[in-house]
Amino acid sequence: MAGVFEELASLNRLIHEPARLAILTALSSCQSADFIFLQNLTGLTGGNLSSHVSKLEAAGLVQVEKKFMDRRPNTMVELTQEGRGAIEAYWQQLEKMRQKSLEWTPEDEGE
Amino acid sequence: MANYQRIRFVTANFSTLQGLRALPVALFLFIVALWSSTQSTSQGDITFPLLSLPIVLMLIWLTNRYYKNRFGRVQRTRGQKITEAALSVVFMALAYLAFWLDTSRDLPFSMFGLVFAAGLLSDYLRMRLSVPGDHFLQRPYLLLVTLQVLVSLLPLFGLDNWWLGINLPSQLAGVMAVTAVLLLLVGLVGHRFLSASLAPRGR
Repeated sequence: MAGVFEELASLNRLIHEPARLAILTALSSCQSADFIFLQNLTGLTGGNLSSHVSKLEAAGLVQVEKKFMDRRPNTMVELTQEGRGAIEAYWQQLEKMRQKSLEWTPEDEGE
Repeated sequence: MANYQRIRFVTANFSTLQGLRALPVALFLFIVALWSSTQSTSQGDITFPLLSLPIVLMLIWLTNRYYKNRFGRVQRTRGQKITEAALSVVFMALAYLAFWLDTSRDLPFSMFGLVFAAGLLSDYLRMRLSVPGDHFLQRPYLLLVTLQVLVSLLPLFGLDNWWLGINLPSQLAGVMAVTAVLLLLVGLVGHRFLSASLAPRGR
């Protein structure tokens, strides 16, 4: 298990936060989604969601487009290319760590 | 991890899970099945089904609006759009062909019912492939597909004229009525899953 804590610490902290991870995971499964959907999905208040999306936007992981749809203001959020790569890399890293932990035996510790 | 899989599943299949949209279509199928029981000749008066079409279209518009307002909007990826459009075209063509076969040939099974079962199965497989490794909605979908196949093949099992038992004049009308009920059930299953997955806003 040596190095596992270093690996955990090396996870992208911006993405690792549960609400932001949920937002990015959802966006990785579609082209874009609006605020109402993301609010329903994460259960966050409008203010909290807005704050998380702003952080992701500032990091260049998502882009936000505000427009009117059916005469109502609508905010669509979309992953940038960088964001898509980052969330894929995050899940791959987590999956590798999960596999490693499954393969771990007490004998490994003695080596 | 399971919650994130569910997030992927709900987002990737957002439009398919909007099950109430199946309600107007089920209603239309049911109307056509009932209407056929009132026709005495093959050249029936189609005024009633035609008149019901605007109501059905309005109900589709209303359910779309409900989902947009209640659950928000998700734009599918290009790949998802192409797959869904291609499958829609294929199954519409197959349904038309099956309808023609069922009305022009005396088959001991219902092609229309089998095509609907295949469509339902392809919906399930498409959803399943969208999130590898998980089996959301597997049981209800496979149960409904099995039911649809069984109903379509009932005459082969010796249950000739089963549709007369529910006061419908032909196998096609009977299968349409059953399909309407199953479509309704699939819709309710999808809607329930979607509602349970998407919590009310602003917790």
